[in-house]
Amino acid sequence: MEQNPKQAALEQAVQELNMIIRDAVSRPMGFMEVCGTHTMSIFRHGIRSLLPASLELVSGPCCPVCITIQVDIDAMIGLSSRPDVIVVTFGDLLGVPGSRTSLAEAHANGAMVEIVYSPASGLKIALQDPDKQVVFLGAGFETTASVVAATILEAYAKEINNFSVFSRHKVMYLALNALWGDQELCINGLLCPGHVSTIIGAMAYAPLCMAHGIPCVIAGFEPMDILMGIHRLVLQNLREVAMVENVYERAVTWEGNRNANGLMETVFESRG
Amino acid sequence: MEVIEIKGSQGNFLDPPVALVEARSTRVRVRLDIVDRMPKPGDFVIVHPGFAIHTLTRDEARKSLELFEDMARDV
Repeated sequence: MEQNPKQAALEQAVQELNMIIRDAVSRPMGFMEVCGTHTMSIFRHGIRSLLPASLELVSGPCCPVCITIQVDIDAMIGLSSRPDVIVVTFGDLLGVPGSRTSLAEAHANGAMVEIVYSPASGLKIALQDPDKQVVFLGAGFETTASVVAATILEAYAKEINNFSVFSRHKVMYLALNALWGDQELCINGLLCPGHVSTIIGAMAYAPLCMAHGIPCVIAGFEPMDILMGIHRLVLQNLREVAMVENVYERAVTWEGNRNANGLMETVFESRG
Repeated sequence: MEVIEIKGSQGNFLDPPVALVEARSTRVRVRLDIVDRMPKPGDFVIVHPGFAIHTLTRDEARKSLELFEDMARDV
């Protein structure tokens, strides 16, 4: 069967870029892919197997599930046990273990737990069941927080008083900054997330980059995006510079999404 | 995803803006409350849990789709 010319060109590009990275890495380097979607893409496309052994990729904290602490999971399970509450959540929180059980087990034992694709679906559930308090479990970073902010503003405008949010959202900068309190952390660069950066903008990484001298490169989720990001991190290390670079310009600007940030500022306050 | 049609306007939470979008023959409705720039039919949007977060014109989207070919020529 004849190969698609675009596919062939992409495969060639990936191979050649990989060779550039292999040639460039003359000493051990470790980069953290901050975002869970990057981690999934790296595994799905076998990117680690393409890289030289001296280049290590470390999975970072930008997974909504991973950064939700157990005591918060316990609180969410506790909420779901109330007969007057319907808990609404993304599916990925369902199987996360608390100290004794999980939301999935609570649901199996009769707790009212609804899985939704969008927090706005929680408002429909609230309207359908006005005698229950519908609680959306808010986990994740600015991308999810801005979506939840819009949902809260809609609930307020429509006076849907039986909808609330258990907010355990995180601020990307604060999460990354906290990592540098770990003396054992040995990272030579950050592969910064795509969608979060669409909201917060590339400039959000500048304070981190300047304070800790850590190269930061924002990349998309396609294998070529990720390899380009790694390539830029390698080059910054070889040149002994630390700057914020954006190889996901088709989705990320320097300033970020002002509309989304404005909605978050209206609804949330940071307790960082 | 390509925007097919739009209803409502940004900032009106009583009647939130919604777009019918399509990708690979699948059509879904997404909210436009938090998008950085209100799209027009024919524009493309990046979607995160049911909400568009970034708008690209058709040309920008085409450039994105062609980006990999450009990279292939550059490396």
